[in-house]
Amino acid sequence: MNWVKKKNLLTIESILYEGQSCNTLPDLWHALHSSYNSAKNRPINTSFLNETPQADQILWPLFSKQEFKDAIAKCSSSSTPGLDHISWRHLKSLITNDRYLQKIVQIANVCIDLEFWPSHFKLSNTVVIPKPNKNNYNSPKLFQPIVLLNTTGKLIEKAISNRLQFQLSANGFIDSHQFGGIQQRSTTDAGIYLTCLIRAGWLRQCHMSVLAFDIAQFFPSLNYQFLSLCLKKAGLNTNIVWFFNSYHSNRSTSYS
Amino acid sequence: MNTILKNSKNNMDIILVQEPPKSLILCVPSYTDLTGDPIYSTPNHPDWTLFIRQDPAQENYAQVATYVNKKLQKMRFTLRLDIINHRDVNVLVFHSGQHINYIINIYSNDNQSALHFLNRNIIDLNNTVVMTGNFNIRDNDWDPNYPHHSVHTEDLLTLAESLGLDLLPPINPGPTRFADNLRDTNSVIDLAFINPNNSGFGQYSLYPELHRPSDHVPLIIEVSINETNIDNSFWSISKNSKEEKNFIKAITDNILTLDTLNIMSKENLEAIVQQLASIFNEAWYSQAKKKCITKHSKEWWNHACTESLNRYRNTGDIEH
Repeated sequence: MNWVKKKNLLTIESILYEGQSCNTLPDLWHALHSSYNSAKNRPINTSFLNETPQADQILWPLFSKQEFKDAIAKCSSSSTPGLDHISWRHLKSLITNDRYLQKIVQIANVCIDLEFWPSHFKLSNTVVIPKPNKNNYNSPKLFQPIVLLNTTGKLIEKAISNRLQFQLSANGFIDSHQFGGIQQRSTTDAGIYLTCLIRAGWLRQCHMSVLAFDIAQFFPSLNYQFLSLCLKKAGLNTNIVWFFNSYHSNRSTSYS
Repeated sequence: MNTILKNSKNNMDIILVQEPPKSLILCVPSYTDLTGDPIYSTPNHPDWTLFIRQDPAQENYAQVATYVNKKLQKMRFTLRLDIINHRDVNVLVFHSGQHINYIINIYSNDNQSALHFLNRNIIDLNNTVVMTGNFNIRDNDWDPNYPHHSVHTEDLLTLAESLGLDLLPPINPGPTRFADNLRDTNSVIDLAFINPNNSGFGQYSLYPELHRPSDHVPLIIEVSINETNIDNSFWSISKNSKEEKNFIKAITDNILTLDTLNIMSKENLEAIVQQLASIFNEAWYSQAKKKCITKHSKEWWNHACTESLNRYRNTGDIEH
């Protein structure tokens, strides 16, 4: 089975969850939801944040049209749109109209100013895709959920994300050992850094060993309360922190 | 079987077969035979999906097979071997809107092994809509020409009751199996148990004129299927088409009327974004067309191909 193209699932089994087969839609919903959001609402200890120094206050100027043009340039025109049917291809065509782009920029600025993320941008459709090359498909973990959000909201999110990354890199809040998801830091950099550490150890006649581990359910495990505290520590003003509180609340998705 | 599959694709949706026949599927290259080694198996047809339990042992060859018309693909039929894995029983699940339903296809042999197996292994299938097949049980309850009762009747009726099913007589009662010798009489051994709470599954009739070459009479159950449950079409706008240009223009024209400069409150922002959503939605449904992907659809076919084909059909000119 491939990631792309039409998939024919085996027709002789159902999804098992905690040893029970899911024979009804509520069972199936419970199995999928519990698997993909298993870390939701877990209590966390935020005291270790006290050791992190408070970063300098960040200024948040109004968005420019160019930030939106830069953000959309990297998006794939062939990716599947969300519930609004607007693909990146359509949006790329739409923002060539300067007045249209101006409207989107104005909406983005108002969202930050009013500390509010509209409900239309929170609606999503979750498509559950079977992972390729498995012997059977009887567990929710053998499927990969992909959340399809409305594209206009995603464009504003991308502009915010780029701005955040730039600002947090500029004031030194992002740890120098963080390689994933950071612009201009790649897997190759992580490899070179690791190799450098190993060679440095060898020079000192040390035996080097590496402990590698994977954090399961990392993104679903993000605690929003903790994230707010991080943003405050990062030097973002209360406008942005409250915006993110609104951004993370009252989200809904449907499975298909 | 091949003839039935070929002729029934437009007027049948599901075919439940007991004691399925084997036919020549293909010849594979052979060291000893120039014409190849024949492979015999249960016949299939491109318009049907065959659900059959696979077992390499000859004595365990499935005694029930279920064919589902591919036009019902959206109902996601599945053979649930994890519920019942038995040579003589098929449990099929299908989705109808928000509901999950089961169909049970049974061939119970002279030893009633399927019936005993089901009674030993209690299954909890609340939404079973129909259980039908060849039960090989003669009883005066459903066969007036047979004066006796069977010891297996109670087991069968208990099973049906546990699944919430009622034994229904056909509209035109009559024998369902024709005797193959002069000593025996024709009998009623093919039965249908239907869920009385499911209005979709209606009455059923016997079709003695369709029985050849089998010695059993086909039972045809009428089912009403909601068109939306089997509709495979979806809305789409082709790339670079006239519709796509109209779609972009409709959105641009309407959005430029939105007042995004004077948004003063959260409610106002929410309303503006909802208007944005309605503009997208209206533009989409005014320009999108319903499409249906079938096995005949070609991935590489685009708008230019359609135009070329239409031009050729109109002019007969292959060059332009």
